[in-house]
Amino acid sequence: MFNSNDARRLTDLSRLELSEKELERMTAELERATSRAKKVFENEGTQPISDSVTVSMLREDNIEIFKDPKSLLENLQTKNNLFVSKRVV
Amino acid sequence: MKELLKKSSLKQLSQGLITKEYTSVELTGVSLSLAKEDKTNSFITLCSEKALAKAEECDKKLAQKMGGVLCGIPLAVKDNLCTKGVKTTCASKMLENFIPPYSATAVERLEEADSVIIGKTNMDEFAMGSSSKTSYFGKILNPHNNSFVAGGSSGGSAAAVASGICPASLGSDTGGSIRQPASFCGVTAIKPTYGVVSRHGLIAFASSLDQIGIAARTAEDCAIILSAIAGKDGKDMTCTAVKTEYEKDLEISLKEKTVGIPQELLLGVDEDVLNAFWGGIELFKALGCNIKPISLPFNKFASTVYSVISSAEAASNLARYDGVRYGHRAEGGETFEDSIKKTRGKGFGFEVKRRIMLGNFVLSDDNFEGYYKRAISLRQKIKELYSSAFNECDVIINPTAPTAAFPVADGILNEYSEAADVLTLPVNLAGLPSVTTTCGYEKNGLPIGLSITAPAFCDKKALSFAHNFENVRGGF
Repeated sequence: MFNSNDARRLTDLSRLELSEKELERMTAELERATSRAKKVFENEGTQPISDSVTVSMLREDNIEIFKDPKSLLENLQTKNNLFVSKRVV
Repeated sequence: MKELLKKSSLKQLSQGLITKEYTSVELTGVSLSLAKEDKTNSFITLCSEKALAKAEECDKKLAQKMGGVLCGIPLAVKDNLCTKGVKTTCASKMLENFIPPYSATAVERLEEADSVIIGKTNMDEFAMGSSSKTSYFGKILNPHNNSFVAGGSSGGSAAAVASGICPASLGSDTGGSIRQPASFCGVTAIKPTYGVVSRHGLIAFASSLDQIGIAARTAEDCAIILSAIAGKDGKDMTCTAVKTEYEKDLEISLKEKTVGIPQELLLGVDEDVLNAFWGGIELFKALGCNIKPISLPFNKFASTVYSVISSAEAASNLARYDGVRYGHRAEGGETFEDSIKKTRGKGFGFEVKRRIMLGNFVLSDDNFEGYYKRAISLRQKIKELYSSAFNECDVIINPTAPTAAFPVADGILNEYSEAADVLTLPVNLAGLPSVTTTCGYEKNGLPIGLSITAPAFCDKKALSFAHNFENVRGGF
């Protein structure tokens, strides 16, 4: 568990001066980042990382959305023309 | 003239210069005035005088039928690339007034090719961010809709091209920093293989991941610029690629080529993005490609590996900013050490400080084995997974980002920005080349990109796929 003492020690090590408010926010951010990293590294090697992934998640249904490349092309070109002429600031 | 600049590719503009439809001084003048009118905050510094003087020189060369394809073309450069005599701030208070005594090799090579550098583009501070909101000089807005971010960290480089200010720009890419903003702004970009472009003069963030990239309107334009800046450099020992003409013979038949689609990299991707992505895949099918589902099961750990390694390298690289040799120096401080702490505390923004502290945490004695060494071994695993995937396919294609551009109003660290690089950063960990190009638009009219990744040093292959795709897609 990362705490404010760890954060203070790290500010010294990093040669940084932080306000109390910044230190509080930094402690929360680093606690989140380090605990997530710890969890990821602990799990690695003990269980398959992609165990929840199945072929059905490839969303083959979506492949069928654009059956007709011609209409897709027209759609894209219209939007791209808009992009270069009207959308730009 | 403004419309011409907004609508033309670099190659087309070059043709116009050669056939004397306009001069480089005219083109550069328009480019500079568009940059001055720009509402997206894409530029930190404009080099008006220097650019116009260079344009005049280029016109003389063009009149004598001298000069290559880049002669007289206005380009922009990200503000973490050193430019001799021109402020290079890295979008940080720390380097607010830093004027480098030398130029980055990539910049030097662009200048040798007679391109005109019009200015330095805005970015996330020290290239740390996915939104271009951490810049000391203010956030960058998306040219398509100013309520959305331009992406980051090379947001200014992508937005400048999308707004039509210049046909191409240089950026950098440590975890997706040129590809993700290019996708958000609807332009094409390449992150070359690690070692293709010299990093000399690129202000270091994470040296084993950093690579100079290019944003442009087309893959062909990216190839033209890559040819100019790539190749061995005695000032960067990791730069090993031989000089290649990347733009030559880009048009190849994609018939029977195999496109691998990593199933894990589609998880958690927005529906609008998936629809546009599958639309893009349809075009590859129409070009004759075989589509093959592949597995790259690093989705659950790649971003953590990236975060640990990049922060560790950042902590080490940014240790040099102490206010003694150059850069910002804070007032006060009773001792030498106090002065350094104050300088760094005031000179860096929160996100930079967060990454320095995380880096020092993972490098400290107690945590080195558990975090840093673990991350290094998983990085190797990512490289191996890519390597075996390329036994099954020619290129790997996935959405560039899981969402389109997110609202500016969201906090700097939010679920969107944290996830924004998740599909691009594995490529940096493996050192591979990757090109992003627009494959559609979401319901609010914001662009969506897909990324084409090729094996190491096959940058031309990734560009060829993108070029052929853009030929059938049309427009830019």
